[in-house]
Amino acid sequence: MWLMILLVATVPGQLWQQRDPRLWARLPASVAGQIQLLADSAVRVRLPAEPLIQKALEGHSKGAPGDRIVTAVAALLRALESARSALGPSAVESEIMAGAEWLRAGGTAPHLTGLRRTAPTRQLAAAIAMGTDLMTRGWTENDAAAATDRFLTAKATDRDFLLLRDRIEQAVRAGSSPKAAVLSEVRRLESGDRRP
Amino acid sequence: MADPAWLADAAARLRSPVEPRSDGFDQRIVAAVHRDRSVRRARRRVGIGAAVLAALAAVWAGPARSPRTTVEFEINAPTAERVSLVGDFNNWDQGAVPMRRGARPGQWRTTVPLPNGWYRYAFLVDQSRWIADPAKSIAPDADFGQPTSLLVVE
Repeated sequence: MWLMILLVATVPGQLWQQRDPRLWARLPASVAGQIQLLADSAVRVRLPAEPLIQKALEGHSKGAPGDRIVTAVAALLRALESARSALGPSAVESEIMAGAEWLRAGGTAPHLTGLRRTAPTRQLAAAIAMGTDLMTRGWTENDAAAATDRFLTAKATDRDFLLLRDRIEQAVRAGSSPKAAVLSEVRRLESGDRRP
Repeated sequence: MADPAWLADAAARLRSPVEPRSDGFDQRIVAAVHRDRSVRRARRRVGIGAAVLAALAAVWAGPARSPRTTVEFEINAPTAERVSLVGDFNNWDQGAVPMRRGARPGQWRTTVPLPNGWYRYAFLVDQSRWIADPAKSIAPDADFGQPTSLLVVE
């Protein structure tokens, strides 16, 4: 009897995994089918499928044509694979997603691996996000990775990384350059000053 | 001196096995014990069943939700008639989170409780114009030709 209950209870869950209703309700069937295949292949290699689903829904919401949505989702899947490979098998979902954004900002896998080497046991999502933010603001990857690495070495917390952007904004409004603001923060942390 | 006959008879009765009483008292006791065992067995089955169902419900519902942080979103759009917050946290549904006018002229605001994680989002102005959040990081890719912001909730 318990076997019956187990089967009845788990089969619909597995069907749900195989066919995400959000895709099929909003995208043309041919596009939804291709996205579903990409999401399924992500699950098979233990990568998060949700970012792929969200990328497809973003494309639909922004009025992108189907082939462009599929191309974007496939590119994101490749970036997720590369990020996980660079960050190691222990990388959690938010780290993999941050790593994918790093790569899509023009960063490279060796720098991600370097950050992991600097801080092998801590969560890197906030740190990588800060580095990515610097690159989208025009920093070179070398400079962004070096600044992130120095913050990690200085034992910056996730909150430090998240606050850094606000500090840069304040410093820039006061006439400083973003790079000078970051270096000032690095020096502050390295001196042991932990004031928020 | 020999035992009296009544004593020998009593001793013989005590040595003989006890026969169930004819009024069914013993049968009722035995039946009650069996009933009690059945009830306990049934209770145990119900308990195991409830535990199995609870475990299945937990599997069905997915991992436990992490604590949520209330995140405030704000955009300055003085000419807008309508502004929506659209992103990963609402499946990019344009109607899910309409923003309210703020205290300052042109200001639009809303708050959303979010579990820890990594989010992409944008503001949709008058159902036609996508704007990234100037207070947050810009997503590096522009797959669909429209700006997107990044948010990390830790």
